[in-house]
Amino acid sequence: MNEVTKIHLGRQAFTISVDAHRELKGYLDAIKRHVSDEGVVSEVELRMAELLAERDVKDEQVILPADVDFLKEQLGNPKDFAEDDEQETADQPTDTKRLFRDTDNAMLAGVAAGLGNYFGVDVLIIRLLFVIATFAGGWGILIYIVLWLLVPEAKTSSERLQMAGKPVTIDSLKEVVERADVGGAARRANNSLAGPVNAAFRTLLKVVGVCFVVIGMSLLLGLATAALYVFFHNSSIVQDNLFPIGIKEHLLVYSAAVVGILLSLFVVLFGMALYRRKWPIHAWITGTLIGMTLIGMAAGGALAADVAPHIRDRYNANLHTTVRTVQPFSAVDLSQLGNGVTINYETAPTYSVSLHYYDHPNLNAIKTSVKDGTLIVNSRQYSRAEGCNGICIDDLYDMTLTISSPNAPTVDDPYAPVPPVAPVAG
Amino acid sequence: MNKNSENSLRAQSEVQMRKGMLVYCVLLLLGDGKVYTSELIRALHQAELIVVEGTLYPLLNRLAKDGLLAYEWQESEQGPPRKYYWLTDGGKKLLADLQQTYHRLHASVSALEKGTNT
Repeated sequence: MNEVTKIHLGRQAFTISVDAHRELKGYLDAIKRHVSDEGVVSEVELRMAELLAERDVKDEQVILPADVDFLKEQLGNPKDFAEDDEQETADQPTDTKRLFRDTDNAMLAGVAAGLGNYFGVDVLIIRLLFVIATFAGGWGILIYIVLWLLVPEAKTSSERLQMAGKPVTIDSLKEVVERADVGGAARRANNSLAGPVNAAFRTLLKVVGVCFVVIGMSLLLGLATAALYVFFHNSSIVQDNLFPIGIKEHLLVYSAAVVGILLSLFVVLFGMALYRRKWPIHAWITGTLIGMTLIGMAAGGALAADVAPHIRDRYNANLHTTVRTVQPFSAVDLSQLGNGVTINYETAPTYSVSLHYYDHPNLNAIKTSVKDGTLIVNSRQYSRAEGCNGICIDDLYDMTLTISSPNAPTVDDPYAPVPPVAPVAG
Repeated sequence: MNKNSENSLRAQSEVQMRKGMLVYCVLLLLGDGKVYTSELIRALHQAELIVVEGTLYPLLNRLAKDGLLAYEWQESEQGPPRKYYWLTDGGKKLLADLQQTYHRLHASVSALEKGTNT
């Protein structure tokens, strides 16, 4: 407990230990709640400075919790500062229970312990509910994080009392201070059931934490690789035809990348938090990161909505069909069909093969010929990758062939799709 | 009835008595001239009229607001500046009134005490 901070009391600078500062602030806040006049507070602060000086706490000396206890003893219960008795009674209802994160009994951030205090339920039950909710679709984690961010931590003794629903008085404050050292540990040791179960929870948290860190790191690595790939391919994200690269599209990709990296980062941070049972970075950095993520998502969403119709138009404009008229046939040989080609059958008055494709693939790679009344489709030379550079969406370059004939042909390849029984034309 | 409620009744009565005397005593202490807060507190402590200081600040604040006390800040050589209080004319009048009340009360209480003793 060597951490110290600087404060001003009655226009004098003091060095104060962090613990003592917390207590002092809680006490002054409690007084402020009972006093309508700011002048009283500043006078109290002056008096505090004076009392501390009398105790020889000045200049080099650090204010310790014991000094704050002394101040409280001298100045009295915050309620004594109430201007009259009516106000004192009127303030009573503020002593009702409040929801705080109970970091003294925390497994992770004290959310479950705080809820347990608030509802008067054993922490174990709340934790089990969180675990069950987590396995039932991940809601547990989500609710936990939201509560972690929204519910304040019980930092001062008076907040701890409010958390337990006890009135904040000098005596009860003292009780909390004393119990924090001895009582808490004893209570935890006494609960024989909670001991091993809690130990199991701790181990589980660490394992899950490590998993999250590994997953998050992999995501980051994957994104970094993708970013490098894109960089070395002159920013050609998907083939230019589908994804005409303009300023908007660039921004869209960048915002998607930023959001992706931030989300992966959160996964890593959450894993670290699970492992260390403490959120690993400052609140303001967390806030900044969340803000950046939200801005990125909003920008990405807006850009995507703006760009999407253009992409669809481009896509539609690049869909083509070529019809090849062929000699009459009664059978189809698909034994030389390669990857990326799908076959449809159609009943039509003439014999033909229609090629439906995207963009400008090598049509010569699809050979159609009729020999002895058998249509042979050879697409072994066809490669989807040929039409594309950058990141390719394979299915996009799949070719669909529609085989049309007046009568349904027989197909010798048992693995090929079977033609529907077509009604005889005419 | 039981010991607990007896104790709390006693504590309550004592608090009420001290509270009743507090305004009068503060005015008495200020009757001597300019006094600063800590001196007041020390004197009241010694007289066992206050246990904690908290009760005093709202009282002083109230008296000053009602125009019974005047105050000024003075720099001190050691420590923070001090707030000096003194009685206004209104305060002096109140002191005189309370003095009368107290003496009457004291006389009647003394008479009662004598009555019970004999």
